[in-house]
Amino acid sequence: MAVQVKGKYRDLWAFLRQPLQRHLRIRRASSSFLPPDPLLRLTTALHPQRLELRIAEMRQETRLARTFRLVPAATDAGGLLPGLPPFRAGQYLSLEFVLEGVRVSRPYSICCSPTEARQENFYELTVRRRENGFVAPHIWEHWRPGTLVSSSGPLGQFGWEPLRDRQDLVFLAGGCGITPFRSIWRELRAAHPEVSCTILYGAARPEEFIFRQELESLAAELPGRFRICLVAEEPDPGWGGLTGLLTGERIRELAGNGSDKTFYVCGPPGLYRFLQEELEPFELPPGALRQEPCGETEDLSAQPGYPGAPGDGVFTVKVHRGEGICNIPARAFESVLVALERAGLAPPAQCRSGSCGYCRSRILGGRIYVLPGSDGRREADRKLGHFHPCSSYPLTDLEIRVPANPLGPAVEQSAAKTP
Amino acid sequence: MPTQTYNQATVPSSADVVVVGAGLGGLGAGLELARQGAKVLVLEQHNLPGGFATSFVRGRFEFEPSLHQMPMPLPDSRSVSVRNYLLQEAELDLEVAEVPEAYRLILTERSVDVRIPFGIQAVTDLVEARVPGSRASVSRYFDLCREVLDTLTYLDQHREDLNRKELLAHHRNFLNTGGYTVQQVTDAVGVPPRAQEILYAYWCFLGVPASRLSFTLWGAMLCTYLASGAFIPRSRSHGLASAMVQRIEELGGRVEFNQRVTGIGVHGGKIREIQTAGGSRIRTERVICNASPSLVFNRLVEPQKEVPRRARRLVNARRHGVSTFVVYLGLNKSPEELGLDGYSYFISPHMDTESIYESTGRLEPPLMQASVCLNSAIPDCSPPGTTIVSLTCCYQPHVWEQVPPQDYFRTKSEIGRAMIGQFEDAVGVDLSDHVEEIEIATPVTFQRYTGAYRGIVYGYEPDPWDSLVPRALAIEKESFFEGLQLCGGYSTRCHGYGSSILSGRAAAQRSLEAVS
Repeated sequence: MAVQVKGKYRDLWAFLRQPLQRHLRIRRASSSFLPPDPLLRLTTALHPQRLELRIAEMRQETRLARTFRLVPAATDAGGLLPGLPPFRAGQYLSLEFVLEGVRVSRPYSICCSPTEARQENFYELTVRRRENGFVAPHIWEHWRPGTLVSSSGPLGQFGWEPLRDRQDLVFLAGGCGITPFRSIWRELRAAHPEVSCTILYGAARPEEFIFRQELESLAAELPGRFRICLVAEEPDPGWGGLTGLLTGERIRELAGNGSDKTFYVCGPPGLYRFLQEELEPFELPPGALRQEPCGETEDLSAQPGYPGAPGDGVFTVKVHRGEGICNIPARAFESVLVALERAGLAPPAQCRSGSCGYCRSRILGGRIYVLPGSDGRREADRKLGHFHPCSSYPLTDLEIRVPANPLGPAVEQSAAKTP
Repeated sequence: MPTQTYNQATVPSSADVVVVGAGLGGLGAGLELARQGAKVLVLEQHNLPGGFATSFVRGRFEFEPSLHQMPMPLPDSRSVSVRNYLLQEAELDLEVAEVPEAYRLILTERSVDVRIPFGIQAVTDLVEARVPGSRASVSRYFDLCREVLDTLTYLDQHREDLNRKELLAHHRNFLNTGGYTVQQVTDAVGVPPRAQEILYAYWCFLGVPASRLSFTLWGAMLCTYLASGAFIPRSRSHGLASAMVQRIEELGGRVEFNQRVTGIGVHGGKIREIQTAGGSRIRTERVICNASPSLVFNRLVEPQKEVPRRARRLVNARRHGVSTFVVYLGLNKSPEELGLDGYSYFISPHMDTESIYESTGRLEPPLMQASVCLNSAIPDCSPPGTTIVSLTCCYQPHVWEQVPPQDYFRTKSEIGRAMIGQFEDAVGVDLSDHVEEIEIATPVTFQRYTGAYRGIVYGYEPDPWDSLVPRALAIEKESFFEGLQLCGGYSTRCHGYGSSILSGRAAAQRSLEAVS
């Protein structure tokens, strides 16, 4: 059945004139160049690929912890310091270092609140001193006011999300795991009077409690909203507070049976394993227990499903990258990401705990062990043999394919100053 | 110690064809080229394939970021089916799931709450039940849509030997409606307004109000979906994109990630090379580009003086389509417990597409949302006792550009909350109390991960003058450079998953034909 819209000939003409219409529209259009992408300003302001920062101040928190205040490294064309990207309380920065010719990244939680950071245009990070380790000793020795630091923009999903979480929160922190919580409690205090928090903070010795004074005055000033409990594992004679560990019992004393509360955990890998058991009787629904994932584990043999003990074995990893192929060593107890970094390959890396997928690579041969709590792989990736080197450990010799580092070569000015 | 060049992952120094971008268009092109034995290199700036066709994991959930549905093959039709192309021709290792029904449409101010099944007859019956007396016009309308689709198939298969007489004699309705908008044709066929509002729900997949949208594109889409049904990949769109990459590599092609193309080197109107952010130059005479032509002709082609003024006029003449805003919810109750029994929910106060479109131009919750309960198509897409729901609306490109960075998180949270409220009120369910995971994507998010110009998801708006047929007729003239083919949501088939993949396939075929 024939359909007519405006009449036999007009319809045909409406169709046939389209190329002409197109031609005329194009001829009438401006030949100017496309202006700069107007959304890119916002996207870059929020998610810059790289931030160049300068240490403005440094303060000693405890014998073993220092807080660094970072500001933009350079002024922009107008002579002003560019505004730092806003962030959500609990997010981290992935800092980039070039040490001994090796390029590595480390995630550090931002410990100031988004509001204060915005008002004065800074970030603060607190770094704990460590005797061994690759990056922490370097920071401790070399970071001083004036040092330049290269970083990602703010990243990560840890924190209080009003559309998801309860208004009664329980923070379980161990050691330097307190840092993201400081950002969160400062923000909640300033902007969310409806939210209350119970903060249980464990450290080895009393002098190691970071932000102790701030926590105590928080509890004193707003006792109805902030309850604080510091638990020292090895108290000294002067310690009047609680001793021992963050046990389920202790948590129950302060937080009751945990119903209608959201729990947050951040601390060293040992804390996660310990709390997993301690929190079991609470029967928290999934999602009510939120952890800042921590992939670089200390003891693989304690992990469920790890075959035997990793030992001192060293495997060979055949790495394909673009057109190149090379063989590198990989220690059994270190992640594949660390092996790639040690070999000077500068793999892409951000969260270092299996979740962000920034280091996603392909496994062509051999077997890996993936940390169960840090397996953020997509379903199809599991099936097709992709993996996240940061949370994967070699069980055999491997053959893998690693993508380029999108940041390109490390630039001199962005590297942390080394003497 | 490996060298610095090795660190940056060297790319080959030459390739038969370089595909710029591993979005669905680029992957479609890469797949077809690899199938035909070409030495193809696909370069992607992100560390994942697919562009918008990806996925992300939060807690126990893996979310589908953008796909609602792709069409199943149409019975009794020789039209190219994206499903058959992927699964049969290209032999992709991909599991798919069928979408159970077309959609549930809730128009809150119009007291409309209908569930539209797949199948032309079933839809016609349902509309007749709601709008007595509409049967004849609605049947005529679907017949017309089918004719449009059949003509497009005919044109596609007779590109080389088009017969004007045949076209005039047997495809008259296609010609008679091809110059008009959806509204003009729908009115002319006599579909009553109350039936129109039920049938227009899919308009949001094209993002242009009925008063401007090309009827040809609309009719083909409507018929394809309603007559044949729809499917989605089981392991999210990332499963689709990854399977395409896998197949390209099996067939001898290469896909490199984290390799951003910064320039398409041209000399004397001919493609010479590709330049990457890592400083590599790849000699090639053929490029298939998945990026927006706006970017190709203003940013990528080097040197700039090679770009004819007409190319810039062309991109300036076209109107950019919308971007999207999506709230992803991982819920800690099963769909049954929540009271969700449908897959696709279209929710709006009414179906006045003009004013809905207008509402996408303001920084507030737009009037209409298109939302999906993924478990209705893939029951085990999330752990037992949980549900994945995503709520999507559109925004015109200028809207989010005005948000100050410090207001960004608050703004997206407020709009997200309002959209959840819209859904809860319309469907009569509670989602807010069962949120285990939530993520919200804005045009900024889409731009962050894909580099899309202005965060645009939908390509150029398909007004009649810039719809399928005018684009197809101008294809040679508008690539401007010998050896360059364009694909993806901005190209001939307009946007959408299936269209993008097939546009890549067509671009690959043109590229191969040009050589032979």
